[in-house]
Amino acid sequence: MFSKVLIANRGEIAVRVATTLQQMGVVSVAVYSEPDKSALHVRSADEAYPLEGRTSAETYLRGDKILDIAKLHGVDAIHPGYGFLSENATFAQQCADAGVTFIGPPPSAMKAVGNKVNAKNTLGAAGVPLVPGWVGAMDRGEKEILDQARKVGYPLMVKAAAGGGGKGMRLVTAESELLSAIETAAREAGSAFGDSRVFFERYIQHARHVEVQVFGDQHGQAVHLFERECSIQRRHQKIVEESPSPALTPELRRRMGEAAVRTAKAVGYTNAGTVEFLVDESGQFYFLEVNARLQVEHPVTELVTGHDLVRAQLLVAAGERLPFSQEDLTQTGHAMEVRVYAEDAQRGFLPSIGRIEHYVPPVGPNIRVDSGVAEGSEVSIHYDPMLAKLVAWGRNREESRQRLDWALRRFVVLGVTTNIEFLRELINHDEFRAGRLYTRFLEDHPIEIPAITEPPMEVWAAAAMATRSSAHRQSGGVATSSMVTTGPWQQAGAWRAW
Amino acid sequence: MKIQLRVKGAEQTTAVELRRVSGGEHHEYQLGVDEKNIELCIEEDGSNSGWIRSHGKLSRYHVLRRDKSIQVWLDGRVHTIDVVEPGRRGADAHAGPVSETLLAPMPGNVLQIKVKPGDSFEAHQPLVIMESMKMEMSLSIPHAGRVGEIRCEVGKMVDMGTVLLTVAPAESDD
Repeated sequence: MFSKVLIANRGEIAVRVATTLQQMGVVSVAVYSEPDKSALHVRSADEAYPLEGRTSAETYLRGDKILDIAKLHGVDAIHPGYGFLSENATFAQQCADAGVTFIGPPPSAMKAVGNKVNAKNTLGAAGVPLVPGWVGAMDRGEKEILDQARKVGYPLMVKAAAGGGGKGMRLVTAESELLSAIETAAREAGSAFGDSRVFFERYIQHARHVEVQVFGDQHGQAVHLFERECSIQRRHQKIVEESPSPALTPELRRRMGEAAVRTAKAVGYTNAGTVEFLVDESGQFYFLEVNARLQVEHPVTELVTGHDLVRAQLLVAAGERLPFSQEDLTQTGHAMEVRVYAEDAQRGFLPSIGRIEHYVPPVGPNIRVDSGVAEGSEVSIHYDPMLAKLVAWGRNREESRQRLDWALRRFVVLGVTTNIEFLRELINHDEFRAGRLYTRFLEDHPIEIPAITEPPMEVWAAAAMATRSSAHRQSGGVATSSMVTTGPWQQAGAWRAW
Repeated sequence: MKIQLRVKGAEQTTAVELRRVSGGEHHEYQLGVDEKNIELCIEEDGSNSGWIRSHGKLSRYHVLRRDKSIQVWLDGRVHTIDVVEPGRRGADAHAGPVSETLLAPMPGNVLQIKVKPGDSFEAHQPLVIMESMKMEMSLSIPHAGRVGEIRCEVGKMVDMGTVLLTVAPAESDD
């Protein structure tokens, strides 16, 4: 086993990885940008070293700086988390060349799945069901593009070949929108991934997004750890994830699990990965993409299988055998996760930046909170505004949903606006409760947060207490924050985005 | 002391008065909200949080005051309450004739400006494309109009609230 591991990430995932490292007796090393110097992930590690610079491009994406720190401080392995360098085959190769273990799949497998076009070609040959589409180059002229699109049929989805997380994706419902959608998707893909290649495929109506967790070791073993349903998305970003999927029969689960393992074996995959599928209303499933990393939503799988996936990642990366066989694995009860973001659901989900003054996550049986922030943390424009993942386990779906609702009701965040109330309305929606989920759920069922114009008496009492205590604090010489809470969209005569 | 409070965005102001009950237990209060009066127990467990008990019903609260705005967390909901200054009925009262502007909703980079000064635009027509946190945002105005001045440049970073363009004053047609 490794003795010292560097976590090339920030936020909740860096905190979460450090926890497992410490439990295994491995020294955890954090790296951080200037705005993150007092961040929770820095304080959660055993050692921490700065990456000079402010933006992601200057810091967490700089494999060279990170490797220099690793070499200087005797690090054996690097855990990349998700995002940033996690699916960067070049970085994985540089680690290998420097004699530092990259905790993830080999560069060859990352290349095979990292480009969606290549992945479709390889997996089609391995007999994994694919969504019908066209992967030709977009410089073949308008006529060919339009002809191919007509063959695929509308509506269709334009996607970035190097894509992930919804960036560089556009839904096209009519031919007239196709060329401009390709142009915007290509530009977004170019700026997000440094690769502007795009392709398109048929849009499956009312599809569910169901993904299968896979794990491979260096001894040729590959298993799956069942599915996660992640159909509830906003602008292609997942918001709620759960396991098991309310839509899968044992038979479909078995077939999808086998297809996922076949996918992993076809590309020589090791370590943790996720094979994403779309499932249509008739129960047909189609390969979407492979995420060659630990997923944001991995806790859902941990709660139903009882396995620590980061621990398994470390064992496999150190050359050991997988700590479980397919026969060992069971899916017990139900787990549901929501992503708590600093964003204002009532104002077009604009990220809400500022200092978190109160942060009290819920505590209770079968409630898990993976936080990336604490009281006093700053939410800046530099990074993703996810604050925490909140996960609840129950014996069945309704029990976990109720537990999650309870936990959301007790999650206190003041200082930035969060989506907590939006999440509560969402998981209490009748269609959500009934498990009738699909990827455009939120477009068809917009979530209204009831406005309260006449708040309960207690709100006035608490507000009055605040006017007393702040006068108190000011006279005591304690500086109060000068953050102004009125945003530009509240100014008279000004319009905010979309 | 009576204070004037208002739910953010609401029209009417509420007069609130919170007094300690003299001779009562330390945490007994009389709350006056407009014409109504009720008795409450408030137990603080920090300078910004505590429990409110009203006729046996318990509520947990957390408060955060920033200047004239108070965030109140109560039983899972966040209420934003503005403190209205005496003699000013509302923050919008000063609003005189305002020329309309399109503001940057977030800090970010201007990718494209789709209109020129003097151009007419339709409601929801994309006017400026911005990029922030690697997401593209198409900015528009929910009604038709004519562009006044362009105040931003392609490729430049702008702060939240920067005026990107102004709308020409409407020509009176009635």
